[in-house]
Amino acid sequence: MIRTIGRASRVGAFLAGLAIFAMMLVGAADVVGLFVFNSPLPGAFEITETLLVASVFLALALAQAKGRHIRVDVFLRLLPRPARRALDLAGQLLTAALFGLISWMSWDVAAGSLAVGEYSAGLIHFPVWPARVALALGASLMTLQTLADAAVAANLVRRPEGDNWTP
Amino acid sequence: MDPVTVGYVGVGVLFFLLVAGLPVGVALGLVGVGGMYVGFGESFVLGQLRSLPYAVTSTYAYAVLPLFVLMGLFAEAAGLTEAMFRAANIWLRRVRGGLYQAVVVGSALFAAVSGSTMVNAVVFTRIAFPEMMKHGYARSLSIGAIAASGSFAAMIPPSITMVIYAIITEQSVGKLLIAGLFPGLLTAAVYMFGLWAMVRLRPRLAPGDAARSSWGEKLHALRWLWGVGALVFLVLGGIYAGVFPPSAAGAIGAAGAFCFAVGRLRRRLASKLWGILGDAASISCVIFVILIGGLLFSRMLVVSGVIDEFVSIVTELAGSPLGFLILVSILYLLLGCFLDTTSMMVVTLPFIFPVVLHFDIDPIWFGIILVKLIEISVVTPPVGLNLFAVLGAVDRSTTRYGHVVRGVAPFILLELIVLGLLIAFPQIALWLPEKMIG
Repeated sequence: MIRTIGRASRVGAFLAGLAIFAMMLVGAADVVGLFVFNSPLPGAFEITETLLVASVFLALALAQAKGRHIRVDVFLRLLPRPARRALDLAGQLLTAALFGLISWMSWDVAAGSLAVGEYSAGLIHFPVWPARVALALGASLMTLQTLADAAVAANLVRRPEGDNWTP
Repeated sequence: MDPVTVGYVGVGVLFFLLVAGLPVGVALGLVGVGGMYVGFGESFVLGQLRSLPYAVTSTYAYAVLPLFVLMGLFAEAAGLTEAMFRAANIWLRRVRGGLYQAVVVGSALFAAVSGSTMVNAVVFTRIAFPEMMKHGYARSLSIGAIAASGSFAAMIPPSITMVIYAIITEQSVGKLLIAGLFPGLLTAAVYMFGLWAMVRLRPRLAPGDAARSSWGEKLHALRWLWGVGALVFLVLGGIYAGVFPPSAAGAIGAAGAFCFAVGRLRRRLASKLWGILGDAASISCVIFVILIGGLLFSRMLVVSGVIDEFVSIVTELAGSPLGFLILVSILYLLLGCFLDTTSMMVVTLPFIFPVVLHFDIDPIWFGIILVKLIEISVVTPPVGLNLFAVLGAVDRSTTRYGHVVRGVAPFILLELIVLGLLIAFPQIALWLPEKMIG
């Protein structure tokens, strides 16, 4: 279970990386199209927005697993080990709570968007639901990953070995 | 509880959560959510949670952030940092203390393709520091020069710090980026002059004559820099002339840096590519988490009315815009001891920026001053974050924290001179963006 969540987080981060690369290609193609062929890439604006949402939210979980999220640790270092572990665990549970809330709301929004077939307002009618779903997926994955980390921290389960869990 | 009390309690709780080591974005978000729930009820807070995370990330103008991150990572992978340092060194070799100058010029050049101060400082520590030791340069001034020059990346466009300021304060990303150019170059020039003077006054800081480099060598060293120069010109020129928005400029910059990486690494890039893309995604998502948390927090503050109270208190306390700038400087030097640059801005700007507007201070100019303060705070002992970053990349048995602290001291003095110049002559920052077409 823990291992599966870890793998899913890595897949998410991989997709997030791809999304940024695609953003680069779309943006470059847009500019080249505008200046060389005198026609910008249709929908470049909307595609970029969708990719940005995906790149941010799908990368969350792996950043959590790798401990990349920025926190103030100068004070923690002064504490004895057990106190530090307790605070870590509390922090993970609080993080899970916040992202749990965000996931809950974002699935609600995504379901609504899918049901009505939400399109962006503007010249080009671009579907909004992929971005909404990516956000909900990413936030849920982040919640699961944080809970998994909390379970490991609380010694409820053993840290999986081998599976290059942390860098 | 009345809303203002909620706001004050929220600020206290935030401080506690940060000290307890909760991720900064989560701490901000939780306090925002909690405060809105207590003060304004469930439907209000759920509404914010529905709309805010999506609104922040589905904004075209913010795509510039991951794209600039990617541009810097590709440029670094392509070995452009090293190429720039070598080129600067070959050209400046005849100057006494040439390697110091090469660090400053190389850092400034690399800052034009990369926006992260920490990366800049760490990479130069790895490349330049061993070389400086080999040639008998003073240990502490060398490491100090590297740590301090790293901060150019925050000022010289493309700067990630500047983009974050623009996002939080809802100012023009393009104008802020362009505004950083002259202040960044001015800082580099002041450093170069300061180093020249230091070496002049105390010749033992640098070894004597180095071999002259031939013109062949000099031209060879520039081989890669023509392309880089063209790319920087395209990115900045495009933003300046308003031909394309900063996000498109970021895409062009990243694509250009990608081409350099392909050109220099060829097949080796394939194995590195996923690592680079993963890093870009991770770095930018970490920033966005803080931004989302920060917006939840600032929304709570605004609706609770704490901000209005804060503005009137601070206006009274500071008395004048200059008094306010002094207060802000002290605040940032303190915060720089334990917060990173993004968190510092996200935590403080909801309070500070309304005061800026109240005093009728130009938001673009204030952004430049703020970035300068942040640059200073991350290299100010006892606990500057970039000092530790640099220390993490050296051999700890010979180079100690004391070296870094002593080495960086003269640069803090130089930085204060630059800060004074920027405050006395706002046109250094504002002339270029005012000329912008876009």
